[in-house]
Amino acid sequence: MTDPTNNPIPPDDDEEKKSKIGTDEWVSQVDDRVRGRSGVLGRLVALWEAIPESWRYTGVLLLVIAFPVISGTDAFLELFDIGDNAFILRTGVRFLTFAILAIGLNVVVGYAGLLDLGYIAFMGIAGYLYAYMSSEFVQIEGLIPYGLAIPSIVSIPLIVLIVAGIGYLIGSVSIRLAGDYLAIVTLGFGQVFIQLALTATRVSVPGFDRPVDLTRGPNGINNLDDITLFGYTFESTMQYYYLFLLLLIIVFVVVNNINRSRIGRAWRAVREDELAAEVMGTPTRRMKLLAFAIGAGIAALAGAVDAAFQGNVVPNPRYSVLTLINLYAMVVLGGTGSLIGSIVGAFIFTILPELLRNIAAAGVLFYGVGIIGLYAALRPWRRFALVMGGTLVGGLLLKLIVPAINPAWDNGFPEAGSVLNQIVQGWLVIPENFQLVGNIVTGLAIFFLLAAMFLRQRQHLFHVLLGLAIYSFAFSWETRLAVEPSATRILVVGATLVVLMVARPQGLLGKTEVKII
Amino acid sequence: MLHITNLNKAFGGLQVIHNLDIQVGRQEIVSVIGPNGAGKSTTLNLITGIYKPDSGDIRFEGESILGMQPHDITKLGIARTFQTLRVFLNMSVIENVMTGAYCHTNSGLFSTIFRMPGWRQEEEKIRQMAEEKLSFFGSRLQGYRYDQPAYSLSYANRRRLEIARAMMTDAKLLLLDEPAAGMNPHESAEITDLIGQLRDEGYTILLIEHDMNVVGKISDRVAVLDYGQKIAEGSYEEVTTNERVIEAYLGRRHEELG
Amino acid sequence: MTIELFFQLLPQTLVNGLTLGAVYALIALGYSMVYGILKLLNFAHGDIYMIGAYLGYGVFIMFFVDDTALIPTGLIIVLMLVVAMVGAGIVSVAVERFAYRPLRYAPRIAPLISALGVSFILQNLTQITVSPRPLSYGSGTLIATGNSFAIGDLKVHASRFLVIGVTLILMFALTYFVTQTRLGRAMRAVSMDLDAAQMMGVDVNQVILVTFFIGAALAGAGGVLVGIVFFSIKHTMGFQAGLKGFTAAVIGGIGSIPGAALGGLLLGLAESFFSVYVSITFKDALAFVLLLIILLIRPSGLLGQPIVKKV
Ligand SMILES: Nc1ncnc2c1ncn2[C@@H]1O[C@H](COP(=O)(O)OP(=O)(O)OP(=O)(O)O)[C@@H](O)[C@H]1O
Ligand SMILES: [Mg+2]
Repeated sequence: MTDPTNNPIPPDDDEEKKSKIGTDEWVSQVDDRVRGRSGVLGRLVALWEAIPESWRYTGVLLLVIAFPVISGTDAFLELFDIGDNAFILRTGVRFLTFAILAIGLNVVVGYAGLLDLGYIAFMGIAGYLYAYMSSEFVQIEGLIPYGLAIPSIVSIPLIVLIVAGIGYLIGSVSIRLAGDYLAIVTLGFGQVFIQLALTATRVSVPGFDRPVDLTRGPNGINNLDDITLFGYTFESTMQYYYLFLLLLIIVFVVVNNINRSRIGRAWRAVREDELAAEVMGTPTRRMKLLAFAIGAGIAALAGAVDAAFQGNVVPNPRYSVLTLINLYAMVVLGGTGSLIGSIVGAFIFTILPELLRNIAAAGVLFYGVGIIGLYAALRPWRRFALVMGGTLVGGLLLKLIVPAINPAWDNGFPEAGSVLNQIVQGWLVIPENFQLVGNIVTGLAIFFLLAAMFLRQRQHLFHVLLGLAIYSFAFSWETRLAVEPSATRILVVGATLVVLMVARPQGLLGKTEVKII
Repeated sequence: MLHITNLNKAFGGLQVIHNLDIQVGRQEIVSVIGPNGAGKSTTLNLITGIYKPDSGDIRFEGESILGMQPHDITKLGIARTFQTLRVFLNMSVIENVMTGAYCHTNSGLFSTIFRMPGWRQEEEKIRQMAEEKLSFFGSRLQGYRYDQPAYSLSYANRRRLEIARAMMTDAKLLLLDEPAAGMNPHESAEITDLIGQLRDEGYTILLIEHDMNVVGKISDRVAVLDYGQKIAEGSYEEVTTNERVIEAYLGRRHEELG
Repeated sequence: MTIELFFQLLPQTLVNGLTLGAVYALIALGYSMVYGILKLLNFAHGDIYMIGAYLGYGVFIMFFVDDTALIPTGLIIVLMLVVAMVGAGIVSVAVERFAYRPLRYAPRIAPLISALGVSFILQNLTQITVSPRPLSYGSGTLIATGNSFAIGDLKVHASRFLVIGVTLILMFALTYFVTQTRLGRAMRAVSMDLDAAQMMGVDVNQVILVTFFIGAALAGAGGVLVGIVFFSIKHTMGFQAGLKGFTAAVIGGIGSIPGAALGGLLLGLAESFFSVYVSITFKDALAFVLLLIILLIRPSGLLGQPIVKKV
């Protein structure tokens, strides 16, 4: 500013005239431009961002606080029809638990860039520790005659500290290994933990003549005590809902504060370029271990309170790789490095599968997402209309021709959840042995879709294949998918993961990363 | 200030640094030049602790820094830039510089989590210091630039950013690996002045540079490396008229022809 | 355990270990090859193995009606292997094309998550379209129970020979392919430096597809063999097997083909010995303890190249 010759940036009015493409400023605004372009979604985002930040947070928070009351109303229960209020509240608690866990994982993966695949074990260890420490009646035969019954106010911070220490230890063993080796060693740690939990039922402990049952195997330990803080005992689901909400807020604030400090900067630097960070004076090893320990501590907090809420610790599937994968999905879907993203990811992955429980709702979601996806993939809308129209007419023709040849080929009647299903089934040709045919058609549907994607360049063939795919997917849904809700739910989760990663590798709220090699 | 004695380093069978001696005195600018692959960058990697030397000693202010972790060496007061540019691309400009402060700040976890007054003061101090370091390069890294990601910077600006980040560590000795590479003549003249200014502010500088205009203008002393050996040392004039140096730069030509 | 008992159990343990090790090696090879080229932990690889097992079973029930073979058993086994290998290969190539290729330059974790998604899809699709229950070959249906060879006192069932023999043949074929053919050499070039190979005119996409195909074909064969030896397959079988194969690949030195074979063999033997002589309950934990020890001693695995840090 002081020395005009030192100032290569021309004044603003000059800049207007020149082409800005390729200048530093232009490059840095790519994100904004991309966002500005993206149609309906872009406009929604813009609307959302027009609300002042503090209002946004307050609004969401109020909604979450009021949720147990809202969810109890008849209107709400009728609208969603997935279970009674207790069930809905339990789902809410599940969401909050996973949100806390996801934030902890985000510290390790998103901030420090460490691929920790043993994360879930920290939750598990905390669960077992809570069982040993804070329950009056839990006893380990031979070893502990009756529960230690340490008050929660002491035991939970203690558990968090112990597990953070374990995290530190595991970290210091495995951090010497570079990148992906860290992943496999931590995965191994997680596996060892769950194997022990499942099998450590007859362990010889020195000084005892009989083998000791440490974990009660796959059945787990029951009858854990509730949490009591300052004489107040948390018993109902609603009470735990608010306890978890409070913990989520605390964890969020703590992590956010750390992130916006020199420690957070050091983490990001380590993630960006470990060597450069080290040479610029960041103790990279210590920073990574700190992330490991903090992540483990957060997992322990969630794990201990969760054990109290559930009243038991059952290793499978709660502490299994399946849960870990879910957590990773949440963090990555939300965007690694974004705290709000982790919460959003947890929301999507805990609430969405529950909504899919209701076959009718799942159907609406399935067809709705399908049609929106097609519309997005087939802009301009004329192409969309062409494919949809073609498929509809083609289906109707089949409906006319096939029964005329052999009526037995069109007299299957799968279960129909809603009017929508009835309409679709009326349109489809469904043979008697629709179960078997449905299996084959499900395979065909995927084949058609992949073939269509593969032959995108050949316009006509592409449209025809897409039409075939739509027909077979509808058939598959009506005859097979909707009937097997549990497998379908995971299937949908899997498909969501793949599609989302391909469409937006940085996650919903993550920032695009630039790597220049 | 910096005493390198009898330094050796081999990669596999290749002797990259051979019995190297270099001294750098307080507030001096010493340039190291030499053909490609002479071992200049390797020397910096040895000083900063990225590589461990096979033998020899490196002393900084009288203390041997051999075997120390790179971050501890930085803490003692040695900072560097990289020939290949290693800014933190996805962090903002100001944050890039602020990371350099880690080694001389000390807010702990507790005061960070609870945002204690001590923490607040320190953060403010870091921010101020970072802005001050960036202002060293004029307005081009100021104002709206602070919050832009480093990947949006031009090549020359990334070089400047690396220097600012190195200054942020409170170093006394700066090791600059080809700071003028990729700059146009105007820009490299400017960076030359800046390096001179740095010295006047009290920094000691070990400079690696191919651009002889830069080297000639500011060096107090020049050391020439070839195949890991120091083949000449002295003032710029002495060195550039030295037989062996000319041979080192042009010699391979003769051999090829002969 | 008495010394006599120890020696009595030894030969059988050895044979079991070799069989198990052969299957682990087949899975590990695919993991290792893909990692060598793309630095991708292909978590869906275990499920590709599972798909191979199911395809093999499909051939089996087509030619085995009411416990009687329609064509010679040897031919059935060959057909099972071929169909499983080709089918698994095609599935894997499709997975690469649609789930991994778009993510080749994305952050490292994105293809990993995509791989997990693929794993979910393959497993649950199999569950829905085939059966949520295990499928059984029926013991002795394919190769009669008494069909064994005597080596001294030890009787070794023919299926064990089949597993070890097929594995050996496949490994020799792979070695020949990698060292003697143009495509094989291109593959090694790509695994050393993808970008450089690309600039030298190697069709990287083709090489990657071939790598996925071969890796999957080997795993598919592994799936069939496991079904034949243990008589039963399940849609979730890919998960544990994938972990073991992966572990074997890392123990041997990920990215190294002989390393994968060695790692698989070692892991199989170690598990077999451990479960006989020490404890069967901790068998699955053993793999990772072994892994940890080896990695701490040799950070890049037994036969892996040490990582060079260049600044
Ligand atoms: N990590 C390493 N492993 C093996 N060889 C290395 C390593 N680092 C450097 N070398 C070799 O050491 C020699 C010196 O390299 P160095 O980077 O120090 O040269 P330089 O003088 O900085 O050259 P330039 O002017 O091109 O930057 C080169 O032959 C290089 O290939
Ligand atoms: Mg250099």
